[in-house]
Amino acid sequence: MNTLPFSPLPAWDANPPHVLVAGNGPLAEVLGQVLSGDVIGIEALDMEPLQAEEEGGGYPLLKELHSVMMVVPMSAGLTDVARWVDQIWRLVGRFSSAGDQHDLRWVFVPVASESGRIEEGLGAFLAVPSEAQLTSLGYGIWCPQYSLEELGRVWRSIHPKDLLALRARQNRDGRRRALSTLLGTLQGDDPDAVVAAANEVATQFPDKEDFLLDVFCRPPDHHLNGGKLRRWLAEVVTRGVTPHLCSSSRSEVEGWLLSELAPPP
Amino acid sequence: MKLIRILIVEDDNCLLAKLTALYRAKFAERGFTATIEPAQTVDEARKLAKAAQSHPYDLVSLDVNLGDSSLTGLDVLSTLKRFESAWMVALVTGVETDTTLDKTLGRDVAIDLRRKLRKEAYTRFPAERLLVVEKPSQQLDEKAATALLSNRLEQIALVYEEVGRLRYIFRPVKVVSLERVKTGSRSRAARQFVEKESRHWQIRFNCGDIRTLPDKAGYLTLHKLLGLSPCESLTPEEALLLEPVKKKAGTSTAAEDTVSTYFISKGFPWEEMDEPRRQETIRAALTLKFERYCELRGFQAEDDLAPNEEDELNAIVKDLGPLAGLAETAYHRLNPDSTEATQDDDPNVGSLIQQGLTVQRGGFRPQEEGQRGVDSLDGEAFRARKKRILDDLRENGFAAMADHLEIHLQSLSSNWSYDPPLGVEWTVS
Repeated sequence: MNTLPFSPLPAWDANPPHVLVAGNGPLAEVLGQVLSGDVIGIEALDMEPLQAEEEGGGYPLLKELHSVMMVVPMSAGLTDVARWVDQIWRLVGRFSSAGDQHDLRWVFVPVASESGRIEEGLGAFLAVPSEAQLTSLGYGIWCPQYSLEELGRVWRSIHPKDLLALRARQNRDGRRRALSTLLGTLQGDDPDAVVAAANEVATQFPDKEDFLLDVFCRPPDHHLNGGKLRRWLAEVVTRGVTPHLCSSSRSEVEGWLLSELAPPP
Repeated sequence: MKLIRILIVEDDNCLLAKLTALYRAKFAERGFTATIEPAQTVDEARKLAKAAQSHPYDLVSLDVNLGDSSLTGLDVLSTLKRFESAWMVALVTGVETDTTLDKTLGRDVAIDLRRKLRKEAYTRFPAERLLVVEKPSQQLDEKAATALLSNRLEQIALVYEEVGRLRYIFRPVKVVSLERVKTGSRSRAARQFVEKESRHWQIRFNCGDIRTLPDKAGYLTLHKLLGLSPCESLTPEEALLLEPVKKKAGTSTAAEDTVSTYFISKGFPWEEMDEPRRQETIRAALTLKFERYCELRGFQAEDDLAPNEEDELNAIVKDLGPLAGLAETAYHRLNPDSTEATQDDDPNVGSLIQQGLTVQRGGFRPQEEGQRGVDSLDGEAFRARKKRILDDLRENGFAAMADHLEIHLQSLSSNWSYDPPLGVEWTVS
């Protein structure tokens, strides 16, 4: 694979890709060949691509990209997928002149068979109100055990969307807002407000869905952080909170949750 | 008849129909034939805005509240700005006239909300091309509402005409800068500066991006822009790499060979790539390091390069390989006064056009009664100068520019006049 003289990433300037397959292993390679797409290893997504920030939204090396396929390895959790999605948006923001307004179709290919759980988790991270709306908001899921015809069907049903739409949806998402409000109330000294905010979080993440809290917790220990947050919430909701507990929990809860959830100062 | 392409973004069916009819009528009164495209959702509007990148709308009438839970007209405004797909935007807002806001939120909060909306809008689109207008209040009866809307659209049409004059600017501007005087010493304390005046070209690319380029680069860009069809566009980065058609024999082939060898060695399928793709690749490679290269070259020219900066510059030159020559050329374009700049092929036509075509008195000398007049001496001198300049332009490879001037540059009483085609404004400061 060609590389840019100044970057470890593929030489997209010579032949800008239409399809990008993010993933490792033979499945990613085969999909890359079948779809005439460029393959980018998962580890490359975590690299800092270039030091130079271009004025006006980056150089249009990915200007022709219209679809991203992400092969989700068995060992990957929802938070990893969420991080990679963010990283790919960052690459597109850098290398497409359209920046955060570059339209993309996303197809997730979970190697493990539990596609339902991935679907649910992605829905939470991508702030998709219901699974049925996944394709109309730019995302699709295809399992490798299905046929290529099925992939074509999924692909065609997806309406490309940009990052601006995703961010706007996330900003209005009930789960994110509840967590953000919780962080906001912890900044104050009103225990009743903290309890009310904790109750709202518990409502947004009911028992069967409380594993989704992990998606909003800081990696790499997001499971651990999610567990701590669940225990803390259960205690606050059932026993209430004292001003002392409020102030002592402040930094803890902030440390468990993603920094982007913090309310603006 | 002048043409105008309008996008109306409005989710209310009745208002959309009314706006379509009123816009058509108001612009027809001013001699415009309007082509109108409607959009009723944020999604639809943003899709159209993205598609209009190569053929921007002249005017977009944009409703703010479009019934979408997460995106608003302000997001459409951002898309119009990012894709440079609108020349002027009229933001039609109901917040201004919605008196229920005052009642439900309180007057102060409502005023704050209105102020916030305007502020937000002006951060998303250039203020000089954005007009915020009020929708008629829903409390008004049909007749009064239509009259008010008609009045607002008249205001939009007037502003459009006024703002439209600045659509494409090619403006020579004087730039006063501080230039470091060479002291022969590397000591920072010995720095001295003198004021230096030079002429630059202020050029607006497509729908917004205004850049100030030094004389030669500006002139080449101007020449290129005038030769483009309205559907094509030119970015400032592309403008910097423009070369005159006339090249010194022998040099370019050798340079291209080195460049192709370089890219082939990096694994690029150079032979299979067409010319635009090659140019794009070269630009991509250059862009990645060019800014820092220019900065360091500037320090070097001032004899003020620290040892670590010297190492960095050498590393960049090594990285650039044979493209270093192109980077150096582009650097001189940006710094025309640098001592190493090659001036051989610089026709300096910008100043010829600015200064050479002035005629002191009339271009026409009346003969006796009943006879046709003949050219005045000044008129003859004007034509001779014009011919000389146009010949000079053509000889230097600026045929498109010469053709443009031939058509649009005329002598007029005591001076020359430039009557550009629709949509092109060449402002002489």
